Amino acid sequence: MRDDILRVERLSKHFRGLKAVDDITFSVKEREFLGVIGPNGAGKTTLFNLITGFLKPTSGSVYFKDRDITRLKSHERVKLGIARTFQVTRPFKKLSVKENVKIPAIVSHRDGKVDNVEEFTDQILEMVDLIKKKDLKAENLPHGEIRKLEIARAMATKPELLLLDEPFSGLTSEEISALQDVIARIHEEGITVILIEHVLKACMALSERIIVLNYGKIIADGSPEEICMDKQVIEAYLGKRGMEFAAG
Amino acid sequence: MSIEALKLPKRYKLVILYLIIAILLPFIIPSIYILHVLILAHLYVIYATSWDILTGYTGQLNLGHAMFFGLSAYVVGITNTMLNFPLTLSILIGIASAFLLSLVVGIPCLRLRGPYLAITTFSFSWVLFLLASSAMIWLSGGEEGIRGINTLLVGTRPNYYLSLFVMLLIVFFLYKIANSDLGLMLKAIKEDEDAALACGVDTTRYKLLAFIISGTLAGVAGAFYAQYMRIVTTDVVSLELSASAIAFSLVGGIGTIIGPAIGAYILTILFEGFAWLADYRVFVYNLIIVLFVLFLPGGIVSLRESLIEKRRRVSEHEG
Repeated sequence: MRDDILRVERLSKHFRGLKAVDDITFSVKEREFLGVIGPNGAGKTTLFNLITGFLKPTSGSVYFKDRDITRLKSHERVKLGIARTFQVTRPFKKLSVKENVKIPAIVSHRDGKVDNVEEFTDQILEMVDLIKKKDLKAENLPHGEIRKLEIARAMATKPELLLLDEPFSGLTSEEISALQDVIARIHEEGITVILIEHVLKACMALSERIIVLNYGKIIADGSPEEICMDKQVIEAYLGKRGMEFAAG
Repeated sequence: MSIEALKLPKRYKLVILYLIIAILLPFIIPSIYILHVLILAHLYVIYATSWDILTGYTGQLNLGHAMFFGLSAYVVGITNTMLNFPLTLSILIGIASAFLLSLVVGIPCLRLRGPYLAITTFSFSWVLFLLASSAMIWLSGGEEGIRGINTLLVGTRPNYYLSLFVMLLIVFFLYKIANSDLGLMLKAIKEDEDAALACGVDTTRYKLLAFIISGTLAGVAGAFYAQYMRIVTTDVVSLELSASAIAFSLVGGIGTIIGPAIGAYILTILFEGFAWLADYRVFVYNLIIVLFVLFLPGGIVSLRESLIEKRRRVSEHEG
C-alpha cells in the first residue's frame, strides 16, 4: 500500500461571493498520476494555486507527506518538493534557455539536492530535448518548446510532486505527443504528477486516476474508464461530444 | 575568427584605456575645476550604479534614491560638526544610517507587490527634504546647510584619486554581483516574480538584499560627498537628485551597471559645461527621461550592442 504524498482536507477558497474551491477533500498516492478535469471556471487552477501556496485558502488544510503546509510560502513548498508549471507560460523571456533552468538548479544546489549545477542543468535540458537551444533567449523559442522549458524549470527544483497546469494547450498534435512522452518519462522516474488538462485524449492516456471538478466541487473520482462512463460527468462537463468520445 | 571571440578582449581594452586616462588625467589636465567636476562624476557613478542594482536588475522601482545619499551626508555633517565625532566615525555612522534606512523602508515594502515601493521611496525622500528644508532647520541648517565638515584628504587631486578608487571598487563589486548567481536571481525576479517563486527563489529575501546593497552604497557616495564638499545642503535630499538616478541610468542603459556609470559621467560633465542649465535641472532630467524612454530605451550601451548585432549580420551575409 503506497502512502499519501498529498492530502487536501476540506479546502475552500472564496473570492467575495464566488466559491472557486468549495470544501474539497482528496488525496494523492506516491507515484500516482492524477488527472484533474472540469469545465472552465471549475476551480482547477485555483486548486493548484492553493496547493502550491500562490493563494491562501479561506479554510481547510493541505498536507504534504503528512506535514501541514497550509501556512508555508510558495518557495518553501518548492524546497519540500512541490513544483508547478503555469497555464499561461511564464518563461524568463530575456534570459537564455539555460539560465531559465539554472535558476531553480542553483536553488536546488543550495538546498543540498544537487551537487553540480552545470551538469544538472544540462541533464534537465537533455531530458526535455532543449540542450541544442540552450543559448537561445527564451523569448525566441516557439510555443511548444516554451512549454517544455516550463517543465524543465519545474524539474530543476527536484520535485517529488509535479503539478502541470494545462501543459498541452496551444500545441500542435505532434508537439502534444512529444510532450506526452516527456511527461510519461518524468512519471516513470518516480515523480507523482497531477495534471490539469483540457486535451482529454492526452489526459486520459496518461492518468491512472481522474477527478472531475465542477463549480468548485469534486463531482467524480475514478479511473479514466469510469470517468468516461459517469453520467454526471458527461452531463456536467463532456456534453454531447463527450458522449461521442466515451462511445469511442 | 568570430566577432564573439573578439568581443571580450575589446571590452577589456576599453577598460584599460579608461583606467590609464583616469589615472594620468590630473597630470594631463591640471585644472582644479575639471578635477572637481570629475570627483562629483565619480560620486554620481556610485549613486547611479547602486540605483541600478535594485531598479535596473531587480525591477523594484525606487523613486527616492536621494534619501540614502542625503541621509548619509546629513548624518556625517551633524555627527562631525555638532557632536564633534571623529570624521571616520561620522562616515561609518552615515553609511550605517543609510543601511538602516534601507531596512526600515525595505522590510515592509518588499513583502508587498505593486506600487508600494515606488510610493514609499518617493514619500520618504520627500519627507526628508521637508525636514531638512523647514521642519528641522535647527538641525540641518536649512538653505545655509551644515558647514565646516572635516575632510579625509586635503586638496582636489588626492580626493580625485580617492573618489576614483572607491568608485572603481564599488562598480567592480556591483558588476561582479550582476554577473553572479545572485545577479541571475535578481534578473529572474525582475522578469517574473511568480515564476521565480515557482523556481524556489525566496524573492522577498533577494529583493531586500538588493535594496540593502543599493541603499548602503548610495550612503557611501553621500558620506564621501559630505567630507569632500565640507558642506551639506538640501540639494542632497532633493527631488532632482532622485530624478538624476533615473536619468543617469536611462542615458547609459538601465540594468547594465556599466550603462548608468557612463550616463552619470556624461550628464555630470554636460551639466557643468552648460552651467546655465542648472536652474532647469529637474526639467532637463525629465525631458531626458522621456526622450530616452521613447527613442532609445536601452540607453547608450544598447547602441554598441546593436552595432555588434549589425556587424554579425553583415559577416553572416558575407560568410
